[in-house]
Amino acid sequence: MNLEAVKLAAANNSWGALFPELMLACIALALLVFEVVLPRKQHRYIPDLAIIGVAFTLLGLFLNFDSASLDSETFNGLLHHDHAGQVMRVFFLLSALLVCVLARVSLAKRAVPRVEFSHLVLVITAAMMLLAQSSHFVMLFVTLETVTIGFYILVSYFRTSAASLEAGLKYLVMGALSSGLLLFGIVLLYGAAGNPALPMHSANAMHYRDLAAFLAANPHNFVASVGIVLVLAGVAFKIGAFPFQIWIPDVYQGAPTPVTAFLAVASKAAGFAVLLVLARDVFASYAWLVIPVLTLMAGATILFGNIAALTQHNVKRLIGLSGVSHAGFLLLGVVAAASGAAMATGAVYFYLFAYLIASFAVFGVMTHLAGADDSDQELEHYAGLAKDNPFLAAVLAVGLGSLAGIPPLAGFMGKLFVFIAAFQAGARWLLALAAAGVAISIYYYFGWLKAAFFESLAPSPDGPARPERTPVGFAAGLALSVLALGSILLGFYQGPLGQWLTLK
Amino acid sequence: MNALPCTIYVSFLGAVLALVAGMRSPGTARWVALLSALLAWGIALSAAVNFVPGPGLETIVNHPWIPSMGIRYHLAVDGISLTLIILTGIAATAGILFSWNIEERAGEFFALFLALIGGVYGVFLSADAFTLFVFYEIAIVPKYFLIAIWGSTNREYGAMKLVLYSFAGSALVLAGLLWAYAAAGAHSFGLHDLATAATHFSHSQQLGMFALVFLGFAVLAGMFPFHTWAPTGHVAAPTAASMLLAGVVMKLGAYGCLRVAMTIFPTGLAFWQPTIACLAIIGIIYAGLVALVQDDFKFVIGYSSVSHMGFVLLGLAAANAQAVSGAVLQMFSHGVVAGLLFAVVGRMVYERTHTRQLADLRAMPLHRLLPFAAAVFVVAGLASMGMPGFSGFPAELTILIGTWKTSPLWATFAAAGVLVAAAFTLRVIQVSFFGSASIADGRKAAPAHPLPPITLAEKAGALVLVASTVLIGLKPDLLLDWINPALQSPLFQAVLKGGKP
Repeated sequence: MNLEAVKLAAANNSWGALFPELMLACIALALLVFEVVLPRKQHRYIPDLAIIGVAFTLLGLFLNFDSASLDSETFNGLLHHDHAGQVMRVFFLLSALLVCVLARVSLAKRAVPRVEFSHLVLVITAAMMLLAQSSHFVMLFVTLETVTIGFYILVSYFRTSAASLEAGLKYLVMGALSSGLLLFGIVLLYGAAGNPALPMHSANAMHYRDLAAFLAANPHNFVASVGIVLVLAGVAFKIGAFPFQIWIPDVYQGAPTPVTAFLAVASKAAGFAVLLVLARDVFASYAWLVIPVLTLMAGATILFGNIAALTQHNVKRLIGLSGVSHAGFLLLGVVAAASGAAMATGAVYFYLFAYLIASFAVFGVMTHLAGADDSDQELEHYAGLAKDNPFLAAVLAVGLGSLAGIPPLAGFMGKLFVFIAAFQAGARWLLALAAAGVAISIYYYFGWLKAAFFESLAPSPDGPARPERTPVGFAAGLALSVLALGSILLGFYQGPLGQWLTLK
Repeated sequence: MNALPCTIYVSFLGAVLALVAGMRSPGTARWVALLSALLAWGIALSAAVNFVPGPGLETIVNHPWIPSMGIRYHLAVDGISLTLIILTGIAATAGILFSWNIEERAGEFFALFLALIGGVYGVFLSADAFTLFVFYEIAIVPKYFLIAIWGSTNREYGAMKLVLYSFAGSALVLAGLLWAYAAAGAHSFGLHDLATAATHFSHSQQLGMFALVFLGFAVLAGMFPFHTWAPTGHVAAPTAASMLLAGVVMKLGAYGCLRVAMTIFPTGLAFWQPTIACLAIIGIIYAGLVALVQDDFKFVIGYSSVSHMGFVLLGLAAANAQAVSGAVLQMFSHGVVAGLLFAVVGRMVYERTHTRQLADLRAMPLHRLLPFAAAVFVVAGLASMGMPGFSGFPAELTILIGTWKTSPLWATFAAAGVLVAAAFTLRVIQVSFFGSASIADGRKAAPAHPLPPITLAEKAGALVLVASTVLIGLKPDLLLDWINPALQSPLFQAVLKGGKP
C-alpha cells in the first residue's frame, strides 16, 4: 500500500469531491456482496436497498450542494466541478432512482436476475455523473464507454427475448461505430493541437482549456475542423440526432421498458451535458463550423422525429421517435447557447428536467401496461384505460401533455425557454421548423391519449388478447403521483428550480 | 370589479367538484356544474352593474409570475372584455341546462366543460400576452375530450381536426409573440408594454409579427380558408360543446385578433387590412352558399357560424370605431344566437327524432310535434338573419355602416352576404319544421311513438338565450355604452383609423 499517495489524496481532499459517485460505487458493490451472503429468500429486498441507497446519495448531494470543491479542478484536470455538474448529478440520481422503481414493476414479470440490474444502473449512473463533469477527453471517453458498455448489457437484459437480444446487438454495433467516430475525432484534435509548428500547441491537448486555447489561436485549422465534426457526430449518436437516430426505434422497442426510459432520459441528457460544454466553451472559436452543423442537425432531427412518429403503433417506438424530436428541440437550445444567448444553458437544463419528469411518468404507465413480452406494447392495449384505471390514465395524460408542450405544464415552459433563447440567438428559420414540429407532434400524442380515453379502439374478440395490466403498487404509485404533480406545479411555478438552474 | 377573477377560480373549482361529485351520481355533478356556472355568471353581472366604462384596461390583479422573464399574472378588464365575459356566463349556463340529460361519465363531462369555461374567462381577463396564451391553450384541450368522448357523427375525425387546427394556430401565435418579445428586448409580455415596444419595430417586422399572430387567432375565429375545422367540429360535438364552440370559443379567436394582434401591431394591420377583408367577405358569402345546400341540419348551422364570424372579421378589418364596436356586438350576438340554434338542432330535435337529415325532418310535421322547438328556432333564425328587434340586427348594421366608411365596396359585398344568410335560414326553417308529412316518399315517416316533451331545463336554457338576444336587440346601447368608451383608449386609437396609415 502506497501510504504516501493515500496521504496526499487525503490532504488535498480531492476524493471528497467525488463522494456521490463513490457512494454509488460502494452501494453497487455492496449489492453484489449482499447477494452472496444473504439467504436466497431475502434476495428480493436487495433492489430496494439500491433505491434507498440512491435516495440517500441524493440527500447527501443536496446537503453538500454548494460544496467546497465547486469551481475547482481535481485529479490533474480530469474533472471540473461546477454548478452545472451538480445540477446534472441531481438529474442522473433522480433518473437512477426512478429507473430502479420502474424495474421493480417490470422485472417482476420475468425470471431474470434483479440484483445485477440495480448494480449496473448504479455503475452507469456514477459514470454519467463523472461524464457530465469531465474536463478532459480521456475522462470523457472512459466514462462514456463505461456508460455504453453498461447499456449493452442492460438493453439485452431480457436474454430469452429475441427482440431484446436484437436490440442489444444493434446497440452494440451502433455504439461501437459511434465510439470509433468519437475517438477518431479526439485523436485528430489531439494531433492538431499537439503539432509544435502551430501557435498555442500543447502537450496536454486533451484538456478542454488547453484545447480551447489552441483552437482560439488557430480558428481555421482543417484537421481540427474534421476532428470537431467527428466528435460532434460521436455525441450525436448518443442523443439520437439525425442522421444518427437510426438505431433508436429498434433498440427502444427491444430493451426492457425501464432501460428504455434510462436510455431515453439519462443517456440523452448525458450527451447534452457534454455537447453543451463542447459547443459553448471548448469549440467556441469554431462557432462558424459548430453552429451550422448543429443547426442543420437540429432542423432535420425535429422534422424526422415528428414525421416518423406519426405512423407508429408500438408505443415504445413512438416514444423513441418522439424522443428524437425532443433531442431536436434540445439541440435548438444548444445552438442558442453556442451563439451566446444568455439564458440558453439554463433553458436546456430546465427542458431536460421537464423531459425527465414527463417521460418517467409515461414510462411508468407503460411498465404497468406491459405484459410478459415487453416489446409488444401497442397503442390498442391502451383501449379503455381511463375506465379501468383512471389514475394511470390521468398520469399518462399529464405526461403526454407535458411532452407535447401544452401549457401550463412543465414541458411547455421548457419549450418556451428554449424558444426564447433561440429567438435571442436569432435562429428564426429553425424556430419556424420547431413550431411546425410542435404542431405535428400534437397528432401522435393525442392519438395515444385517444387510445387511452376512448374505447373505440378496443381489440376485436378474435384478435390477440391484450396483456394483463399490473396493479399499481405503493412505491410506483407514489412515484407516478409525484411526477404528475411535478409536471403541473413546475409549469405554474418554476421559481426555485428556474433560478437554481440558471444560477451560475 | 375586483371579484371578476373569481369567475376563473369558481369555474376551475367547479370543475374539480363536479369531477368528485360525478363519482357519486350524475345528478350531483349536474347541480354542482350549474351552480358554479350561475355563480360565475352572477359575479360577472354584479361586476357589470358597478362597471364604470372608461378608456383603457382597468387592472384587477397584477402579480409577477416568472420574474426572470418579466411574465406577469396580469388580469384587467374593459368594456370589450366585460361584454364577452357576460356572454361566457350566458353560454355556460345555457350549455349546462342543455346537457342536463348527459348520464354517461357526467362528472367528467361537466369537469371538462367548466375547465373550458375557466380558460375562456381567463383569456377575456388577461392583460398579459403570455397569461392570455396559457388560458387560451387551457380552453383548447378540453374541447378535444368533449367532442371525442361525447360527440356524435365522425367524432374522432372532427375532434382531431379541430385540435390540430387549434394547435397549429396557437403555434403561430406563440411564434409571433415570442418574436415580438425577443425583439422588444425580452422584458415583458404585457400587452401595453409590447404595444409600446412595437412602435420601434421595423415595418417588415411588424408585418411579419402581425401576420403570425393574427392568422393564428383567426384560425380559431373560422377565417376562410382555415375554417374547415368548424363545421366538422360543430357537427361532431355534443350539443353543449357545439354551443360553446360556436358561442364562445370562436370568439376567443376574434378577441385575440382584436386585443393582441391589432393593438400591438397597428402598422401590420394597415398592410394586411385588404387581404383580411377580402378573406372575410369570401368567408361570409362562400360559407353562406355552402350552408344553402347542406343535407344535414347541423352542418347548415355549422357553416352559418363561419358566415357570421366573417362579419366579425370584416368589422375588425374595417378598423374604425363603429365597425369594431359592431364586431364586438356581433361576437356577443352570434354567441347567443349560435348557442340557441345548436341547442335546438342538437338537443331538442336530434335527441328526439334521431335524425338530422333535412329530408327526413321534412317528412315529420315538427311544428306540431315540437311546437316549442319550432318557435325557438324561428326566433333564433330571425335573430341570425338580422331581423330588427333581435341582437343580430344592430350588430350587422353597425358593422356594415362602419365598413362603408372604410370601403363602400366591401360593405356592398358583405350586404349580399346578409341576403344569402336570409336564404339559407329561411330554407332550413321551412324544410325542417314546416315540412309536411304528405310528401313522405318512403322516408322515415312521422315517428311511431310520440316525441318526449321538451324538458324544463331546455325551456329555461332557451329562455335565457332568447331573452338575451331580444334584450340586446331592443337596447344595444347596454353593450355599446361599454364597448365604445373602451375603444377610446390610446391603444385602440392607434389602430382605429379606418385604414389610413
